[in-house]
Amino acid sequence: MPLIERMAKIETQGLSKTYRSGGETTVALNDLTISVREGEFLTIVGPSGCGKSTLLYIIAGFLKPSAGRVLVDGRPVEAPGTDRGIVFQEYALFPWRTVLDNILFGLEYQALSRPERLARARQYIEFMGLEGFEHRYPKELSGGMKQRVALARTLCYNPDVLLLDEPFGALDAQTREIMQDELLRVWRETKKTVLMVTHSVSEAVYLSDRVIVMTSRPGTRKAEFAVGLDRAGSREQIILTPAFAELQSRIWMQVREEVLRSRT
Amino acid sequence: MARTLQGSVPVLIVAGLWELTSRLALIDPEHLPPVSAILRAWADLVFSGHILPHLAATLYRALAGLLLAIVFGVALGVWMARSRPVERFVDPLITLTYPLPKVAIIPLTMLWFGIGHLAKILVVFIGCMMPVIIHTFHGARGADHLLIWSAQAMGAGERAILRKVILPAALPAVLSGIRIALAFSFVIVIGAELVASRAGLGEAKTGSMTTCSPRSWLS
Repeated sequence: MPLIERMAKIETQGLSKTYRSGGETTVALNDLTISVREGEFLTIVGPSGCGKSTLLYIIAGFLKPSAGRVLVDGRPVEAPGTDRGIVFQEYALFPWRTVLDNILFGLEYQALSRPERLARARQYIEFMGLEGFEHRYPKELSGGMKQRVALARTLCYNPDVLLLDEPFGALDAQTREIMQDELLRVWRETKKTVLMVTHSVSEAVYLSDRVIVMTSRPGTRKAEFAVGLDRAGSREQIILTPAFAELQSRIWMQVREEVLRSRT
Repeated sequence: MARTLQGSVPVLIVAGLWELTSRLALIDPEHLPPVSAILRAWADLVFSGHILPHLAATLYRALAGLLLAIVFGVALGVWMARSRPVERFVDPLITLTYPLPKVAIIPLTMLWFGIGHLAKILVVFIGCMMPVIIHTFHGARGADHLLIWSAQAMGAGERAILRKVILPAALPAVLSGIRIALAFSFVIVIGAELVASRAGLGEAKTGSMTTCSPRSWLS
C-alpha cells in the first residue's frame, strides 16, 4: 500500500446518501471522496443544504451511507465510537446535568476510577477556562460558554478525531472570533485531526490547513485549496495579509457560484 | 394561601345555590338534600368509623393499580418510542381502547377474579396505564436526537441511553401522565365498586342507594 494512503486518518470512498420520504427522493451526497491526514485541520464549506453535515454524521457513525464507505485509521466505520468526538452547533448539552456532570458523561464509559474521572474533568474545565462554572446548568450559560463545555466534554475522553458541525454558527461575531482562537489553541496543543464544516469562508481560511468547497445538492467535491498561511503572527496580522484576502476571495467565488445555483 | 381562598369561591357559590335549591324545595329535599345535611351525614360516617374500612379498601385498590400502571406504562411507552415495530403494534390498540369506559370491562374481570381486590386492581391498572403510556411515549419520542447522538459518540450503549438520556428527557411528560392517571385511578375504582363489591367507597354508595339514603350517597 502506498505510504500516502496509509497516512490518511479519515477517508471517504464514493460516499452517497439518499433520503426517501413519501414518494420523494433527495440525494444529499453524491459520490464524495475525501481524505483527511493525521493531525490535519480540514474544513468543508458549501451552501446550506449541500449535505456537509450529513457527511459528518456518516463519519461519526450516526447515519449509514446509501453507497460507499468511511475508513478511520483504515478500518470501516460501522457505528459511533469514542475515537471520533463531535461538537454540534446546538451544543447538545444535557440540560438536566451541570457543567461538571456534562463533562463527566463522556468519562463514564472509560476505564477510569472515580477520582481519576474527576481529576480529568477538572483538567479540561481549566483547559477550556470554565473554572467557577462547574455547578451551573447549561441554560445559565452564554452560547460561547456552552460551546466551551461541549468542547471540554468531547476533548476529555481524548478522541483522535474532532468532527465539528458548524461549531460557532450560533454565536455572535465577537464570541465567534474568540472561540476560533480557542479552537486553534486546542488544535495546536492536542494535535488532533479536525474535520469541520462551516459556511463561513473566512473562518475556514483562518483555521484550516486545507479547504474543500462542496457543490449545492447533491453535494460533491467542487474545488480544493491548500491554505499554507504563515500563522506566526496574531489574528490581525494573519487576516490582513494579501495572501489571506486573495485566498478568501478565490474560495468565496467558488462558494458563491453554488449558492446562486442552489437558489435558481 | 390567597390562591386557595380564590379557588374556594366558586365552590362556595355552587354550594350556596345547592343549599338554596334544596331549602326552598325547588327540588324535593328527599331527592336533593341540602349541602349542610350532606356534610353532617359525612361527618357521622367518618366519626362513626363505618366508612374507614371502605376508604382503606378503595385507596389500596386505586394505588396498587396506579403503581403497576406506572411501572408497566413507563416501560412500554419508552419501548414504543425506541422501536418502530413495537409502536406500530401497540399504537392502534391504544387508540382503539383509550376512549372506552374502563368500567365496561368490570364484568369480565369479575368473571375471572371474582369481586375482590384483584378484579378492581386490574381494571385500574388497565385504565391508568393508557395515559402513562401515551405521555411517556411522546416525552421519550421528543428527546432531542442530538443528545442521543452525543451520548452514542461518548460510548453510551442502548441501556445507558435509555437511563441517562431518554428517561430524564421524558420525565416532565411522564409526570403529567401520572397526574392524569392518579385522577383516573379513583374514578375507575369507585366505578368498579359501584358495579360489584363487598367493600369500598363505591360499594358503600350502592348500599346507601338501596337503602334510599341520598344523604350518605352524596357524601
